[in-house]
Amino acid sequence: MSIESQFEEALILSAQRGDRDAFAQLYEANVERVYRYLLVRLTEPADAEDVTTEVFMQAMKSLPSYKSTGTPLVAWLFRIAHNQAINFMKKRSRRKEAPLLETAAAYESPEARVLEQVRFGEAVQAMGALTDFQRQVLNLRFAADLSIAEVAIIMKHKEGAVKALQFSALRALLRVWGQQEGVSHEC
Amino acid sequence: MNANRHEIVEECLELLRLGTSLEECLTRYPDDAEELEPILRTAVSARSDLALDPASSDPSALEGPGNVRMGSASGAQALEYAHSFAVPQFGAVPQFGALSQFGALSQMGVRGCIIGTGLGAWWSRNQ
Repeated sequence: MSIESQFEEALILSAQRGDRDAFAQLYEANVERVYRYLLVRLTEPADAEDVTTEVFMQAMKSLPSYKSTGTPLVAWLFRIAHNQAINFMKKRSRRKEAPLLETAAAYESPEARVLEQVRFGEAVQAMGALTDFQRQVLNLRFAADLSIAEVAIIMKHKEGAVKALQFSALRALLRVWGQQEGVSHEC
Repeated sequence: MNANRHEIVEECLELLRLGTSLEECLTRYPDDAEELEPILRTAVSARSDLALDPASSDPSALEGPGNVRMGSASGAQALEYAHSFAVPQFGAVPQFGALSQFGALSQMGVRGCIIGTGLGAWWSRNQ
């Protein structure tokens, strides 16, 4: 077991015993990648923030029953995040939501910021053309910034399969972007 | 490109992450460079674009742990959750029960968000 894993396990044990600082460290170590993952899945920052909060509340409630079996905590957290995102999307599909790009355009912010928002929106939109697995692997690798090993645990695939999936996802994304450029040039 | 192309792509992605330039990555695999280049450029763009935060027009979004902005709805949820600490959550040791709402929140690691984001304002307004 690596030093990082031992440290994480010690933190988990402390948090399970009610050590708030230990939970705070686990939170700080993981909150950004959980948020980024949810942001790409949900596209709306406010939604991603709310669901991130729910993920950590759920994690805090469930932590006493968490049993470390060599699986990193991040895999457990991302399963919670995945489930919370699905629940949220089910609820959201019943409501009318403004599309991301309209929301982005509505910001009264400097031009550069709007361009960033548009770029983010376009990337998420392009990923919509990929398969679920391809989308998930790119989200976990590039938005959540997880390693191949971590993604393999979360997706319950072998590392080689994740690398192959990542490769096919990038090729698919390249095709989508290529088609989009073709369309924009025609216009 | 050879049969282990997905391995090569991953190796290049790791090199790029560590600061190696795209050109340098490609020189390591001259036979595959032509096919590798557009895929790696796509990966670099995807990584860069997905790292953008459409919420970051608000300067306060850049503060707090993980740059996660917590809006008022999240603040309300967090405070509601803080109330629940009156009930033992961690086995038989009700350590959170004795804490005030703010104390509980700050101790659970959300303090940075409270200070740096909308949650602080929400807290002040509701005092």
